[in-house]
Formats: sequence, structure tokens, C-alpha cells
Amino acid sequence: MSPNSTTAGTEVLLSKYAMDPTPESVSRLASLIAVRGSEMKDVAKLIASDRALTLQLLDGDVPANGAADEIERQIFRLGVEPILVLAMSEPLKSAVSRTFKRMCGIELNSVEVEKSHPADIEPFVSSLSITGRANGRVYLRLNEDLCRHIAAVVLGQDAATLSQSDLTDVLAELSNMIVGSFQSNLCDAGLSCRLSVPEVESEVTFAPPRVPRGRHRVFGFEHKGMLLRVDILVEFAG
Amino acid sequence: MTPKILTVDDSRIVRMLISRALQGCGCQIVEATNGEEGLAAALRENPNLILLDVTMPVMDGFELLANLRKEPSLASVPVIMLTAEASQESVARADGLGVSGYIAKPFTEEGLRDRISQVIPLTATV
Repeated sequence: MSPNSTTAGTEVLLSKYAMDPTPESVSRLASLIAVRGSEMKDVAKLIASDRALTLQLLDGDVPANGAADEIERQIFRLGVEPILVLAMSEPLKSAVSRTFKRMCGIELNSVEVEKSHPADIEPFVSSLSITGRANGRVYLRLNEDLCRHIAAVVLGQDAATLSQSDLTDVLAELSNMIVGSFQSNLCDAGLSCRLSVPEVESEVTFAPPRVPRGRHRVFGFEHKGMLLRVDILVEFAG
Repeated sequence: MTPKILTVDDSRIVRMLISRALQGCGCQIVEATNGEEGLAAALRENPNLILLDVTMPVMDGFELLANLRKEPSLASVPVIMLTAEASQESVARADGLGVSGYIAKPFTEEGLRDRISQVIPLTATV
């Protein structure tokens, strides 16, 4: 089956098994990958036509209507790597939201978060590596309240009675589901990558690796004051 | 006769979620934690339906599925894939091996019961 496209045959299969259609964010990523080998100006033109992505890339600093050339110039100056990382972030965010909604009945709200400081101690961290056409790592960082809450919902037990292994087991399983969904989306977009089995640790110093040729993005979710941060660090192999 | 469902998944959390979703549905649940155990359990228990994960140690879900199709006594047992591996390529591969359903994790309990009830009869839950 050829990647980068949702063929008629694929549509029939997805319909046959009542599966979710290809998310728009995946189609967008596929389009970007398809033009990546072309001129950067083509990538800039494609991005400029996508207002939501443009707003995120330019941090909301988008010239008024009618200045399409200026938008394309701004995007052109950024280069292709941050655009691809941003485009990869969308399927990841979608996988996180969908997993928490379906498995825990939790609606996560997006919130602004800062990158952590080097000495931050994280209560719970689930991490995994990405290898293939893109290389890097993904981290999910949860405070204990949120970890305990999701474990209680999933296991159907009182949060106060849960052991440390209950918390890490549930976080590991939810991470597995997020990884599987994310990896499937990357594969469908034509960005073949292998994602490792997530490792869950508690009370660790968060020390993400440097990605000198890539990008590190962090985005946050909140549920009733409980915080989840998701980091994606990626550099592209070609 | 009470339908028997074999769940093959290496995650105790997922096996527990499936059992909870099917509580009160009038079916018997049998569990296995990898493909090899799943094949042995299928031969021993003769289930009416198999819920099958893909990524597992020892023997993965696709290998088990291929083995089931080669085994005359099990070749026609309905199989529903229940997996986080939901790329178009994997769905097509499973379709080629004649699965009766494909459920992508994360799943809801209601969604799981709905799909299973399309294959075998379940008692309505309260």
C-alpha cells in the first residue's frame, strides 16, 4: 500500500472496520513530506495556505490579509525542520487527547507551558525513542495527582489505595496506546519510523538530550488543575 | 451455550479492561499473554471469538493469526484485532488474513461490546 495517500481501497477498508478516517493533521504531514524534497519555496507556499499551522509557526505574528508574499518569506526563513516538527506534533497531540478521552473519560485542555529547567524533578515520566526517517524522543510528564487520577479511573479503584506499580503500569499502557496511534499516523503519512516501547520512571531529573540539528517542542494539557506536559525532540534523517 | 472469548494481550491492564467491559455480557473469558500461549489456549479451549493484540513477545499477533488460519480446527474462528498498531498497512494485512474486525486502541468499553456483538451474541449490560 502506498503511503502519503488515502486511496479508495483504504477508504473501503477503514469503512469496513468502522475505523476513524485519516486525521487532517496526518494528511497535512503527508503533504509536507511529499514536497520536502522540492524547493523550500513550495513548502512555504503550502504552509502559508494553512492558516492554523501558519499561526503556530509564526507565534501568531501573521501579517494582515493580503500579505501572502510576506507570510511565505517569513516561513521560508524558518527552514523546513521546524515546520515538520510542528506538523509531527499535531498527530502526537491528537493521540494523547484521544487516549485520555477514550480510556479515562478525561477531556484535556491545551495550556501554554514553558520548557523545563535542567534540575526539574518530575513525579512521573514516560519516554520513548523515535528512529527512522526522523530520530528523537518523546516524553510525557505528569504530576502525581493526574497519574493517580487516571490510574484510579482505568483500574476502577479508589485513588488512595493504588500502589506505585499500579500507577506506572497504567501510565505505561496509556503510553503504549499513544505510541501506537502516533506511529501508525506517521507511517500513514509516509514518515516511516520505529517508536520504542515506552519506559516509565518516577521521581527523576528530567534531562532531555540535545538535538543540535533538530527541534524540541513542548506542549501542555490540563485537567482540573492537573498538568501533563508532552515533549517532542526530533531531527530528520532525510 | 455461553460463548467463550479468548483474549490474547501481553498487557494485564488491557486484559482487565476487556474483562470489565464484558462483565455481565453472558460470555466466558479465557486469557493468554502472548501468541504462543494464545495458540495453545485456542487449541485447548476452542473459543467462539479471539480478541488479538499485535505487538507481543514470543509470537506476535500476525504470526498467531497466520497459524490459526493454517490449523483446520481453528481456521474459521472469528478474530478481532484489538491493537494500537493501526496503520493502513496493518489493517490491510489483517484484512488479508480474514479478520472479522479491527479495533484500534485506545478503545471505549461500549465500542468494544458493539464490535464483539456484531460477531457473536452478547447479553445486554445493565
